[in-house]
Amino acid sequence: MEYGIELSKQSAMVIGGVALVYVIVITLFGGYFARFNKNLNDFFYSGQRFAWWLPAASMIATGIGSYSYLKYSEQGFNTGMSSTMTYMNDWFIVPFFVFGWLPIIYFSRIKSIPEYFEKRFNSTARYISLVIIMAYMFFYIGYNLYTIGVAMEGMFGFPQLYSVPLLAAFLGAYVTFGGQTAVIFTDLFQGIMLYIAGGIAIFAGIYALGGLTEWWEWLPISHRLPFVHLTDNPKFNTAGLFWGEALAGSIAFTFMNQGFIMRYLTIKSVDEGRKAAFFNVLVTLPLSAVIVGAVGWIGKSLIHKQNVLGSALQGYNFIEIDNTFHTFIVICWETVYQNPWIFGFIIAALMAALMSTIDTLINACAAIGIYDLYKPLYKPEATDEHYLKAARIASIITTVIGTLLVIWFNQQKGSLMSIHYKGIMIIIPAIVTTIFLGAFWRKFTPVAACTSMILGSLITVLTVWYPSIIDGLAWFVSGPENGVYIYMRALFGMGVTAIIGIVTSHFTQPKADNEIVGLTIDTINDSMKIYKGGEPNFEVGQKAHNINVAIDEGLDVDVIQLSPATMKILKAKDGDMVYLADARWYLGGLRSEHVKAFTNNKIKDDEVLMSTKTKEEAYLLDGNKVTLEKIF
Amino acid sequence: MKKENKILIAILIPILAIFIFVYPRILIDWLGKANPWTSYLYQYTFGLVFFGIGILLVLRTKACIPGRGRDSLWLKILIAGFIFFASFHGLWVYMSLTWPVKG
Repeated sequence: MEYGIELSKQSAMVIGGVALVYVIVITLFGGYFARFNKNLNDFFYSGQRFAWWLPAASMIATGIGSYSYLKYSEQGFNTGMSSTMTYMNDWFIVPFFVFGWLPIIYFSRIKSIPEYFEKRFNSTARYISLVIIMAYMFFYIGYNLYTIGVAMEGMFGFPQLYSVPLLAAFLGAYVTFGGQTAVIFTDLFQGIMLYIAGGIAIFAGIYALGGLTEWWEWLPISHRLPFVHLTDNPKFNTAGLFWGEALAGSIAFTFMNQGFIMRYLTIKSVDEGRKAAFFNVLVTLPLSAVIVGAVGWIGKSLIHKQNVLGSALQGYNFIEIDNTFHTFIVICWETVYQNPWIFGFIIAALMAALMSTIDTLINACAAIGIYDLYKPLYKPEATDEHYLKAARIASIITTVIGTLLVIWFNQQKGSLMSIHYKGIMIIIPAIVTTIFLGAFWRKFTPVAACTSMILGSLITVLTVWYPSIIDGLAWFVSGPENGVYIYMRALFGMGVTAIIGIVTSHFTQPKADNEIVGLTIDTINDSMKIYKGGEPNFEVGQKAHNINVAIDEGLDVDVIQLSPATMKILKAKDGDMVYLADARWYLGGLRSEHVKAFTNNKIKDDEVLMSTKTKEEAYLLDGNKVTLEKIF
Repeated sequence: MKKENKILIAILIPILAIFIFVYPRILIDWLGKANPWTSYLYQYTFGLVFFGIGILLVLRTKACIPGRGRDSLWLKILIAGFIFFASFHGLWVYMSLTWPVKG
């Protein structure tokens, strides 16, 4: 596949060199965090210690895949600013997440979605869900590697046979050793990189056009609008996007993407998780929509201006886009004056997008491999060192499988976008609905969960060969009736799964109430008590800053003592859960721990007493002050 | 499930189904399929329905108790967020349609 630009050998060398240096730097940076993994919880969940902003910022890079720039720039060029729709329609499901799913998985100490299925239903449900979730995540890993392989081949002539395994090897290396902490910190770095590179591409395009007002005024009305036609375009229409993407797609990404779930589980408290979720939907997603799509909007405005003026813009070549899939590459290359160094930096951003999405998925697949397969089925009792080693091997296996899947993707026909949506909209409906019913309806039974996942998936797959089954539903919701049904398939799958689940539940036995405490929305308050080991204290206190650490070896691990004045600032009672962290906020909780606080009348107000073991568990350094905060 | 909840759901589901069927048809008759305000109203009216169901659910199940901890704050942010997105998109459509186009 050609990319619509002609590179000299020297330019290709510079661009390839910049990208390679970037990949090596990220691998070394990620490898540094291997020292923060003492056990499995550290490796996969970073010990639930981070401040909200760190996982939230790292989600920027996770949410943008290597395909995003290419796909959304093309969409932006073809349909305009409505390319933002998929990024800006998530708010409707946020109440279900922040007050429902997030506290359920956090307080019940769920490590993986399949584990939730076992606790909520039974082990059969666990392994059915495992197959579907693994299919979803491996699909994304293979797809990301495939798209970057295609891009590398098109631009530089590197055969995928070499570029994909090489990239996968770098990625696998730092995820294997650094675990979730490496993923979060490298993704934070890569998120910044993505925004800078995207910003450069946008700035160059706007500059070429003569400013923001020029860009807007040369943009046709159809391309300014934030929504597309209600039904016209079978692959991109408002009705389909609402049902298939805003509901099904958003729930899938938020509720069942193990990578994102794990990110939330690294956060120090549910309240901080809510902050991360709000930030993600209010700030990160809209900004990302601009970063990945704007080059397409700029391209449209630029070509419109060129065509009306009848000549190239002053100082630039006449830009033509023969194949809209090349929009991002062509517009960037031309608007940065074909400078290989700047363009190399932008290509490195494509690498960043790839690496930051796949590292999360590799870590997530490895977590499922360990928590849902290796530990329960093969080795239930082993040391932390053993599981840590197994987790690293699982990361390597995941990387290899993802790489091998590229062979399968190469055999698929159709555009990158159609391959993507065809796959995802078939995989997600049944499991998304089952999670939803399981979390929000106590009477949903284990038999119903298993039946609805299997039958729901099968019937959804059948619609690929018999799309006319969806006709009635599309007509009912006034959606597009065109036989293509990319998004309507997801709505259909969700509807069928829900009906099967609800009907089956009426004829089968639900689990006893005491077996599902904390696993449904109406039992969250009970699970908070179990999580804390006592009655939660909801009084909102303040943080206690600049507290000195003093050692008392007589104290138990994860127990601290504070003066009455400090307890009063925190509004804490004896036995309350308190978060202890290095006072340097910018560490984001890298050196921190959850502890139980008790009053000690004999210590100073600016002092916290703990054992050496507690101090080590929190990774605190000698002489550094700490900040304290009551969790509940 | 409490009896009052069962009655509520039994009433709500058919009303919701009728609304999903009728509302877009009214919109299309009134504005036409190609009008950007049709797309806007389709997304935000149905979005409001599902958002509202979510809020109702978390309040009725006591997953959110206004006045407890920071629950009131989160609830206000949720509602403000919806208003923000709806207003922002509304303004965006208005600006797109009214700002002159060159060429």
